[in-house]
Parts: sequence; C-alpha cells; structure tokens
Amino acid sequence: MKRVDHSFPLPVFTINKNFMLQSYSKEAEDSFVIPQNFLDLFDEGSLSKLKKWIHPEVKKVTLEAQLKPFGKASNPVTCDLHVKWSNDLYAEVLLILKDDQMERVTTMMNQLRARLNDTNFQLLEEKEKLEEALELNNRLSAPFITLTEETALIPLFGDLSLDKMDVVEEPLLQRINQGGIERVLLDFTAVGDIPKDGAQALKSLTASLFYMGASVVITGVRPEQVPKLQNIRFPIEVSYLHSLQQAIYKYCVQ
Amino acid sequence: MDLHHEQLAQVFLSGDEEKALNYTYRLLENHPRAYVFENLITPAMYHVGKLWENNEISVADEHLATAICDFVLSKIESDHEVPKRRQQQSYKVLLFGVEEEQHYIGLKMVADTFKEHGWRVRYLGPDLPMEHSMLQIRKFQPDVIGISAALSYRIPAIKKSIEAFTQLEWKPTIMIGGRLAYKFDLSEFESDQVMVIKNIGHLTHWFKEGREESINETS
Repeated sequence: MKRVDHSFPLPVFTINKNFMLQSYSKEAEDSFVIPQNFLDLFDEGSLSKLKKWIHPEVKKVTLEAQLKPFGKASNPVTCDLHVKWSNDLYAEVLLILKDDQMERVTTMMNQLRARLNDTNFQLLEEKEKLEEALELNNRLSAPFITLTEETALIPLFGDLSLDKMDVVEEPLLQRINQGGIERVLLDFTAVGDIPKDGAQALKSLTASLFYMGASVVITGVRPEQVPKLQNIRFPIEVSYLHSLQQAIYKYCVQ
Repeated sequence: MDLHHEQLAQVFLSGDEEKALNYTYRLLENHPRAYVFENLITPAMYHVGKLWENNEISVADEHLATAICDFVLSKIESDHEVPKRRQQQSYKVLLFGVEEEQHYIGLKMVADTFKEHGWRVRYLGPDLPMEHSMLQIRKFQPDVIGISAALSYRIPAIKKSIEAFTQLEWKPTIMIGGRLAYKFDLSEFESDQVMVIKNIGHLTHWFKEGREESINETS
C-alpha cells in the first residue's frame, strides 16, 4: 500500500518559521479567506499561545486555539491544530474545527443561565414591589387624627412589628413637634400581635412622645395583650382607659 | 509567595462545587470580599486562561471552571445581608454585558460589590441586545450604567451604547469595565459622564473617594 500526503479532506497549511503561509489545501481555501500570515486567522487571545507552541523546537504538537469569528459566528471559534515540523524551516498544520456538538451544549448552557438570571431578576422586581407595598401598609397603619386642639387619636392597625414602628415613629414625632397636641390616644382595638422588638419600639415611642410634652393614653387593650404590655414596663405616666369611647368622652366631650 | 489564586484555579477546574465553596468561605474569613474578588478570584480565572495557553487544559475545562466560579459567586452573593432600605432612597445601578459578549464573571463580582455598598442593583447578565438594555434603563432610571466587555470585537457595541446612554435626560454616569478596560486603553471614551473602571479595586476606590481621585491614581 502507498502512503499519500494531503489525502484528507481537511484544511491543511504549510507555514515557515515566521508563520508566513507557503501553501494550503483546497479545503482551507473553501473555509477561510487566506491571509499572508497564518496568525491573522486567529483571535488575539490565542496569539501568544501559538507563538509559544509553534516553532521548530517543538517537533510535533496538538493544541487548541481560537479562530477569529468568521462566517455566521460572532464569537471566536475553537479549533484543534495539529502541527508537525518536517524540517527546521517548514511545518504542516492541520486545522480541525471543534465538533459543533460542544458549541451546541455551550449555547444551551448559556441560554439556561440567561433564563435563570431573568427569573432571578423578575423575583427581585417582585420583591421590591412587595417591600414597597409593605412599607406603605406600615405607614398607613397608624394615621394621625386630630380630635380637638389638644387631643389626637392614633388608631394602630395590625401587628406591631419593629418595621412598622420604625416607619410610624418619625412622622408622628414631627406632627407632635408642630405643637398644640398635649394628649395622644393610642388605640389598640385593631392591634394583632405585639412581638418583642415591636413592643420595645413602642416603649421608646411613648417615651419620646413624653419628652415632647404629650401625655399618652392607651385604650382598647384586649386581655391577651395585657401580659405583653406588662413585659414592656411602660413609663408609669402612661394612663389606660378601657375603650376609645370612654377616652373620647373624657377628653373631648367634657 | 501567595499561591492562593493558583490553588483556587485548580479547585475551580476540579469541578467540585462544594470544595470550591468551602475554599472560598475560608478565604472570606480572613479577607474582605473586595480583596477576594480582585486578588484571588480574578487572578484565579486569569490563571485558568494561562493554563490553556500552556496547553495544559482545554476550552471545555475553562467552561467548567467558569461554571463553578459562577456557582460560588451566586452562593456568596445570596449569603449577603442586604442592608435594609430606610426612608432615604439608595443609589441605583444597572449592569450588563454588551450584545454577543459571553463573559460575565467579572460583572457578577461588580454587581455584588455595588450591593455591598448599599446600592440597588439590576444585574442583567451578558449578551444583552441594545433595545433590551434601553428598555430596562428607561424603566429603572439608574444613577450608574455599567457596561462590560472582554473582547476587542465589542468596541463598536460599547461605542454605540455610550452614544445612546449619554443622550438620556437624567445624565447617568456610564462605567465601562471588563477585561477590555483592563487590557486596552479606552481613555478616548472618557468624558464628564463616562468613566473606565479597570478593576474591582478601582471601583471600591471610587466608592470611597469619588471620581477624580480614582482617575488620578490609575493615570
């Protein structure tokens, strides 16, 4: 049997030491625009690798390299190079594009990653919307209602969470600061749970109101809330009335 | 000699995500996050590139290392205690990689760094078409738009983005980053509104000192 050169239907190049092209196969011509310098086919990220590995001292080597984007590709195209120096002057380089199987898998992975990122992004958007809604809800859970020139009513709604007390505190103190109000009725009728940290915040709020010269009257406490309020140890100056009705009668009607 | 980043590169290449995560956690115990990003994870990924250049690993190995690194970054990001938003509005940043760009690890670290500094972050990932980024930008109205690219083929896309985003009426700051900014001189793009961010260190410096200082330092 006879051994034949250039029998593969594949792009083959002959180059010299300076990477100048000496000859190339028909398949090379079909696939690429043939440059003067072999290196011009490759992505800049691969150049130092090629210079490092393709020289006469490395008689035979196989390496991966990235071709400049060509044809439909917008990203560098990976290929395998099989280099063999026939003598110190010339080398034959066989160029085989990577199986596009891998390219397909990579593209799919990228799509999956993009999908995950999109979902993550949508979740984040929803989370922010929810946070805004919660904050609005908190802000609306303690409206400030002026009953008379001296008396204001703050009906509290829902669980007295720390977040809620934080949101409520500042506008409340500012309102008191504007003057005139001497008495604040905190109505607990619509209050649900009173968690520990919220209770502490409530205590410091009443203290603040106090320092600003407003007395605090708590109304509408339900039996199950009593132990929690006891735990807080409000300043003794806070007074309690059974119901809002009583308080209004006492402070506004009389 | 500090060889942590080479070890980290080996861990990424091993494809063992648990090991990579534990290794990173150990590093985070002793170093601040920004240091780990800039001096360990970034050099580790560059080292992976180096190994490819040395013909020791294949492109497939690189993809694996990237996936593991991505996993680690996602995990440590979700461990973050997000600073609670109080009454005052925090600054907003929108980040993405230009169309066709597939590199995103750096951008992810940048997103995390902004988050750590209390910013509201929209990270849109790599390969984002222009119309899409514009839509999101109009909706979110960020103070800073961060554009990332790794390969020099993306320069036209970067140019196009800058042209479009400098037209925006609220004049956001535009940051150009990624390997492209690290490797090439992009100063021709810089203006009052546009700045080139070379690396995470440069970015953290900007948080501390504002723009002038950080530019002086690198120029």
